[in-house]
Amino acid sequence: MKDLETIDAWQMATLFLSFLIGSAIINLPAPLTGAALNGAWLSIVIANAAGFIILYCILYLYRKYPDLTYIDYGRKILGKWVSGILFIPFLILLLMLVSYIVIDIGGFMTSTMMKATPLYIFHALILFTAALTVRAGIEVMARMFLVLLYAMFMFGLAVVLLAIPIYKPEHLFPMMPYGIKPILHGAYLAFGFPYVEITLFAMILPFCKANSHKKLGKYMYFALLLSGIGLISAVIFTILAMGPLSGNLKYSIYQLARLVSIGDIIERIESVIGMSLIAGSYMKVTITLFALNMGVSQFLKLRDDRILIFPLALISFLLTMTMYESEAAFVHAVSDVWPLMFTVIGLFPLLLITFVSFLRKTN
Amino acid sequence: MLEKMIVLFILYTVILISDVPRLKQKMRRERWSYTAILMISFYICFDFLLEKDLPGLNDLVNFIFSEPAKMIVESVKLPEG
Repeated sequence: MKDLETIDAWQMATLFLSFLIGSAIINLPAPLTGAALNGAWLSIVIANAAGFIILYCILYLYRKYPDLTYIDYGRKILGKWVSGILFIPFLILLLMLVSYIVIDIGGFMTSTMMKATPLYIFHALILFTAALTVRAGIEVMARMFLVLLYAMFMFGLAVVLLAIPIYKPEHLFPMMPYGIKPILHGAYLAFGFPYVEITLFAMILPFCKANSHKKLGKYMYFALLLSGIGLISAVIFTILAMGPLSGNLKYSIYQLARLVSIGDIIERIESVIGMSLIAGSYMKVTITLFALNMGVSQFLKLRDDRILIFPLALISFLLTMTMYESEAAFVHAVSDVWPLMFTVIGLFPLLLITFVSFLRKTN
Repeated sequence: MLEKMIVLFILYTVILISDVPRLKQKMRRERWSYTAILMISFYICFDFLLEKDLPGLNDLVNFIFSEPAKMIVESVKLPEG
């Protein structure tokens, strides 16, 4: 595998940042400020710190088994049966993650920009594009996402700068009017989306070039820190502009862009943020589909690791259309159930493998 | 129903046109895996077309995780109102 396709440490960190920031920067601020109010940024700090621990585990395992994938060293450490029991739910979880991201994009498009277009159009198109990108390979993904990520950051920066006239610093206070509990609620949300999801990078790290090993850790930690700063900024700027309303308005960065109006010349720039959301979610869904496809192919010990991409994308599409009948059910699934589910099914195996691997080293 | 059938027909056609020629050159393991995944997709297709609300992944997830998740969230959530 490593002889076929590799990317360097910087590109891997770019993929990592795209995955973290991707859809979170648009989707996270509203529910987070709804849960943690003005202390939402503190929730991100807590969740980001937890992300560092997860990343440490992933990098520890990567350094120990640089040539093996997550599935391979999981098999080696836990044995065929135990790893099988742990990895099947994990792969199903990735399938659900792909579907959730796509449902998010569809929901955004049909509720804001293209209300009359059927949902399946967005779902099918985004999954088809993601599947084609995964088929093109990780090198193409890394090169392309670098451009998209810079564009996303520039659009986001432009909007928050143009919105400066509407910021009201007094909106930031009081920071913790109801004590620590809402902050913990926000941390639970932010941990589930996106920080615990970085577990899937255990599947992708072996694609890093052998001569980039030393820099990888540094770059990945930097990307994680940058994602925290990006999300905290998004939350703070939406609170500054909208105050207590920011928790009630969905896609608050998009709403912030709608408020920008400078001299009747620069206005209605929310479409730019809409494009950023589509680009961000597309990157995230592509990376997840890539990890899912690699995981399934390696789990089934297939020689061709690209033959299952389209069928997996098709199943994801069908799941997006059948899983949730109402938005309330989807919101409950994402904000309440998802963090716990990913911690149990996704994070637990990683921690177990790290622990067993550490014990073996000690012995 | 007809609209959904057309969408599914297009999707399956695109996928099969793209994959079948490649699949013919593959080992038996690849072909079986591919067929198994398509079979799973037929089940969800059936649900999508007929809107029967068949048991699915979300039901399983809700059965296992919904209550404990609710308890966690309730313990840290702001009181309503």
